[in-house]
Amino acid sequence: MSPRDDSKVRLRADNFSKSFGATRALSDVSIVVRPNELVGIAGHNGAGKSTLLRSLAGLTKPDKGRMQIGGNEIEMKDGLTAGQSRNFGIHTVYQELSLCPALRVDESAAVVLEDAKGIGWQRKAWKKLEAALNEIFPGHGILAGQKISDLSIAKRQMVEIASATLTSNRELELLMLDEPTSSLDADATATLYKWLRKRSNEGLSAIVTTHRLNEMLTHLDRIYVMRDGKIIAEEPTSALTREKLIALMGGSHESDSSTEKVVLSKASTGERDKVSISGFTNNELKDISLEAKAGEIIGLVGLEGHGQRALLEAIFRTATSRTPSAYRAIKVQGNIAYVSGDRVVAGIFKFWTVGENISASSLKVLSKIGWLSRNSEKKLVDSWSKRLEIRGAVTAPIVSLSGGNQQKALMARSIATGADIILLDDPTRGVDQGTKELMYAILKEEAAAGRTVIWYSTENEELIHCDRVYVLRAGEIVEVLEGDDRDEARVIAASFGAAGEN
Amino acid sequence: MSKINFWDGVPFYFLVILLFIVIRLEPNALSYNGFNLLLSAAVPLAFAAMAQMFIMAAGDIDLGLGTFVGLVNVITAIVLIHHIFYATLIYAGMILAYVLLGLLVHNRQLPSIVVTLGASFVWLGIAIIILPSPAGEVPAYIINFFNWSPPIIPGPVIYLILIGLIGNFVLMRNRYGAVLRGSGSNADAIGRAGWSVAKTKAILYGLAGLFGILSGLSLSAITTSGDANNGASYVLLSIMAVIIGGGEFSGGLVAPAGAVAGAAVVVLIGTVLTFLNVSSDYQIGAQGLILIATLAIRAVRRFVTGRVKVK
Repeated sequence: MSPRDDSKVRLRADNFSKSFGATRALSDVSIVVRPNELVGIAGHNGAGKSTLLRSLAGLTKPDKGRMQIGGNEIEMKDGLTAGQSRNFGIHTVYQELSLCPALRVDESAAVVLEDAKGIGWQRKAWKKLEAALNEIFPGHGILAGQKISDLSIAKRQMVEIASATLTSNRELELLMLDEPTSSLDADATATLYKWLRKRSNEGLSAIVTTHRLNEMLTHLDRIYVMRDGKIIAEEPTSALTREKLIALMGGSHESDSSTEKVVLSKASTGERDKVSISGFTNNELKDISLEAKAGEIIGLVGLEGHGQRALLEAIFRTATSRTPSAYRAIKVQGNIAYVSGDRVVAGIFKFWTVGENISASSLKVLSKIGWLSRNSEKKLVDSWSKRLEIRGAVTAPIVSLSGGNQQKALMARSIATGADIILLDDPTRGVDQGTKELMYAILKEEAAAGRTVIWYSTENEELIHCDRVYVLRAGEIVEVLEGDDRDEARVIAASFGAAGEN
Repeated sequence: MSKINFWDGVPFYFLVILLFIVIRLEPNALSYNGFNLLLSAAVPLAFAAMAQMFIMAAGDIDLGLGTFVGLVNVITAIVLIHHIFYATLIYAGMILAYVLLGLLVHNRQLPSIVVTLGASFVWLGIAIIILPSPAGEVPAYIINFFNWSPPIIPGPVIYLILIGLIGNFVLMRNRYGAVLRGSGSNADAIGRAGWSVAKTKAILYGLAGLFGILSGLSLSAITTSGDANNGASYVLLSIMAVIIGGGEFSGGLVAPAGAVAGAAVVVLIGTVLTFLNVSSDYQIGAQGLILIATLAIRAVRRFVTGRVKVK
């Protein structure tokens, strides 16, 4: 990095590190943003982009690190607060929208505008917001009196972005945007970048994190590439191409082309499909075709939010639906269990003990004429707790266990049912390496015993444990990888799609 | 500009229909005295509805409102008549207690339904200790204030309109009111915008306490004596009034004017049943039916407008 006078730098972050339990989200990350610059941060799932942005904005306090704004050292003792960053002219647009659904658009703007008070505060706020909307998203069609909850997600994103640019007393110096275009259409995306460029010429700096590589290459000046919580490259966009970016992120199109797209089925062993999908389409997925036989471990990968979870849910719903063929394109044979990765929301019964959490799905089997056999339950719970090496007494409340052990309990719950098909929704998220290894071993054992495992993972190293990997992009299967093709590089390359798309 | 649309008027349509029915059953009701009698019982409930509305705006629920109003009634009948100063001090203390409840709910992330339910027994207990059986005397000036009979427009009507206007001003016409409603809708967003969420909770609960006091005072003007069990039904009735008025439990979504109309609707249902010589046992059932009708209308609205997101 060329040495520069610090006062010419708008923002400098040095050696930011942040861990969430066992996960190292940021590892010695240093970035610099100058006036008139549009900087991008690129990376695959879990690279640390959002964590970095949240640390810069003050939402997350880094464990270590120094920050300078406009040449002034910032006291990181308690982290920067959201209000503080505004005082420095730093505004952030977050990935989870910061709008109140109950409020109207003009009220929503007034909440963030210091000087929209007194008589006619709604009008004052709306005037400023409307001006921003007109400038950034001409033809937006948003009205002052509309409730936020009635707006489409695209319009909400427009309101969010426009609101973030509103200022009362302090000039906007640095705008940080986390996936700003994910819900915008092509028009709105174009006008947004046009506006960003115009403002950057006038002095504004911006940091944009996005998965849309073409957007970054077309509109931004400089890109940082992150991987596993570290910054591994920093290049001006003029020196980058799409392929180079993907390669830097760890992706590669190279492969043993003879095995490309050839699905080596296990039909030769005479086993039948446990899950068979042919041309399934719903509002999130398009033309999905997939097969899974007994004893196979299937992986679903790709960028987060590109339909993997929707596919798992569709399979689960088909299997558990009372109507004979809920989705005609999906055929499921046998019973099914689902291991959730979002354990707080969809997994643990937080007021129960570990044992109760493990036995929860098996109660029917453990009961005779409606009466639960405590003995059988104890045997089941003890044996699974032992097999999964759960650290914590089975009588302890589940919330007293570490995240990894909670995840193990969830897994135990599902496998204990003896279901033929196990669906896993990113089960190793936030889990330590030791636990992960154990979970892989268990899954392999279960598959060897004849179970079918379908596993959505955001950690690409895990696909080595899968017999077959389906890469999803925008709700479609873009690649099927088997054998030697199952490497991270191919997955990353496929995740970002063809050169013609975003 | 505020877009008042057809669906926002539902509580008012109910109100008009009920008034129409009442007048058909009893033509004498269409008079100054008639409206006075019809609506005077709506005033304390309207205050209570406002109190409940502030709590619902915070995304919470107040199950202690009924016994709180009862306690105010007891204080008004026992203490106020002899010691204005002490009574005022007690009222202020009760409002402070509500503020503390709000902060407790917020800081410890406790479910308001549990905290206010617990509080309800505290209020009732205190009221019974002070006044084990109905007695006491509500001061004349309280009775006279709420039985005010100005020319042309009956007092209760004026009070109801005023209550609606004040509620509307505090929550809708005021910038901080948007912040208050926002705190019930998405507290994180409000916090990120730089506002103190604890302060919004304290203020909303404090306002609820204040309107609870007013409800108790106006109720006392009607009962003229004290009884710890007065106002017990206000918990459910106030929730009903707010919901009929257009409010929702999801936090931040409330309609002050509608809640006042809702209170009048709830009271008028009882009146209609009386005029129809239906036993008052059926009253709560009829009120419940109107509540269900309101929710059904809401579902119809969603279906009709197709819940079309503005594209």
